[in-house]
Amino acid sequence: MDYTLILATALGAISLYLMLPRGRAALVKLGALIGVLALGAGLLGWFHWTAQEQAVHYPGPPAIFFYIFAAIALASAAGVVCHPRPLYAALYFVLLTLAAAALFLLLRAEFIAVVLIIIYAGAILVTYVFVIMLASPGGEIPAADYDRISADPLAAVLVSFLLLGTILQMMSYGQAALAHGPGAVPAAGPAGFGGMGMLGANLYSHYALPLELAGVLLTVSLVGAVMIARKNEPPVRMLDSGEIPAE
Amino acid sequence: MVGVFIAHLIFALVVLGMTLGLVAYLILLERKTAAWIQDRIGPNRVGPRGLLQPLADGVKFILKEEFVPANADRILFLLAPIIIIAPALCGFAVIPWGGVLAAGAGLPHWLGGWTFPQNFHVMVANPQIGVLFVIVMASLSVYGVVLGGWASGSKYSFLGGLRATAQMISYEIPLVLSLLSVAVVAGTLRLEPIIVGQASYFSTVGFLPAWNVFIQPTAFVLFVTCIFAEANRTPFDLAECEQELVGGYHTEYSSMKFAMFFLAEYSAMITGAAVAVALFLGGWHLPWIDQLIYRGPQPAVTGWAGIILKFIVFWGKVILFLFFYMWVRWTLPRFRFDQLMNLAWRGLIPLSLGTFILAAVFVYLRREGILADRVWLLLGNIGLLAGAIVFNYMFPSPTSNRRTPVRHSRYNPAPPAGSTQTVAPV
Repeated sequence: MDYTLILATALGAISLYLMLPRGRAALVKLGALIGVLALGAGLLGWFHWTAQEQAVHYPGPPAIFFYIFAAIALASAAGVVCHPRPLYAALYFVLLTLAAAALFLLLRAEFIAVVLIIIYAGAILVTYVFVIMLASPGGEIPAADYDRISADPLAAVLVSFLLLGTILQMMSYGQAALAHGPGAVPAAGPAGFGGMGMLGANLYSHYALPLELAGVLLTVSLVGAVMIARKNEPPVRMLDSGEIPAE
Repeated sequence: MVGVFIAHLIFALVVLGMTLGLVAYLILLERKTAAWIQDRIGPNRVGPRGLLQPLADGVKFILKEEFVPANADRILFLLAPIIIIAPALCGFAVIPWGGVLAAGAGLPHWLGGWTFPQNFHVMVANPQIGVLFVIVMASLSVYGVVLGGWASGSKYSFLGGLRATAQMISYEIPLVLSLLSVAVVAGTLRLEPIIVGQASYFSTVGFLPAWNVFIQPTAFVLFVTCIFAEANRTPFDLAECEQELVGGYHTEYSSMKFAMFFLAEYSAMITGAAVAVALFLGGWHLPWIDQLIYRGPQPAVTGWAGIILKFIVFWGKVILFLFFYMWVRWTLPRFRFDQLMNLAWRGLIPLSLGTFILAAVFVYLRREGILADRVWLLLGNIGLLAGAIVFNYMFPSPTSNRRTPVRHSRYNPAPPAGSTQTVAPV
């Protein structure tokens, strides 16, 4: 067991529990403080882990940009969950997407980064913002109760952080075990790894069937959406001359 | 490598400076064009022939009062102009303004004579994703409009923001599809190789330069329509429709914050024009004259003289295209909102899908060696357009918002059947 990671996960859980909106500002500040502590403990664990694994996995320590964008991503992820006003939460989601795209760029996965921004920030979240704007009034009007007070914070935090803790332990321990087995992860990908050429060739050779199935699924859902959105009222009868006949 | 990085950095500053300077004069050009089209003189008081007008405008913008409405969401209200200006100024990074400088050709001797160790791309950055980067920045710019509209706490701004969102999401789809149908034929998303592919002539119709506008005219028309819509320009400027919404999403903005929205709109225009020039209008290719200068096709990698020529040609085409923007603005009336949405979803998206499939089929046939000449793609595009026009007549016309004669419209209802009463003339 990696105790620094457990500590970091537990601190993170407490901080998020305190930050979840309850209409009390003091708890949010305390939660944010503990969140910083959790990040610190997580970083310690991360250094500890990379120091052990560096020889196997990484040619060098991650760039400073990794820490900057990871911190932005974590902070904005907390903002998505904790902000009492839905529009701000959606905007934090946009920021999270941008930070995640930056992390992909650091991994030289340019295409994935761009697609992440175009699809999430450029299409899906714009629609979210659109809907939220239609539903909630602008200006300094206080948000509704169901936005200001989270429904079941304890259960949500427990479940999500149990999952997170398991994944972290797996990354810390399981990977080390796997690295010496048959499924060892190479330190660096082959030439062109993460590039569009390799991605396209892979998608259309190894993953052709899943890709086509996903396309069919999307088409079906699109047709379904059109059918649901369609109004079932009879069309206005018109004469050939374009006139509406008198009733 | 540090030298190459610094050269890219200097070039970024040069392009940024050029853009910001150009924006000021584009506004003057816009006003002068409007005046010319409407048979007026236009601004002519500040400086010779009104040439110092942008300076006066800038001073005025700075001296105006900064005002935040009482009902506004203060944080987002201040953030929106920043959010709109940042992506608008980032899109320039991947535009190849001046081709590629050959490895040996460095700075002239009187500037130190430093040479580049390898071929230098005269652009800010040269990523693999190329033109998709411009799309990313365009898709992010919608947030500035939306947030500006929402945060103002005003009905007019809010409606403008909503309209802009729906419009930008709708027109992004045909924009990307028309752009991809060029990229799939070129086999790359980088703009520089796409321009190199265009810097030649048709093998069958020798006098015609093989620009993508002549190879895929349908894609060009779609692309131009969509960048007009993405830049919120007339006939698609419903987000700032003066008659209905006062000023649209920037109604409540004043002073430099308002200037930011203006700056972003014109920067987006310049980026759109530059991408259109690079993708469809041959980029730095100087048609016919290149035969006289080089005794053959214009080379892709050149020395300093070639780079300067390419830079001038590229910017010349961009400025002509910007003039086209203004020409359209002062010629065409604005769409109605349902017409705008119908045009995108019932017209442009099916047509752009058709163009994309056509391009993909052509790429397959070229790979199999059946049809190699690009003129076939041109013929296919013409056939597609003709087919779309025929199909449009076979398609049932929409039942809502149809044009009706005034006599029987709701403004002048028809008398009930059997009545002898006559309708008073309007």
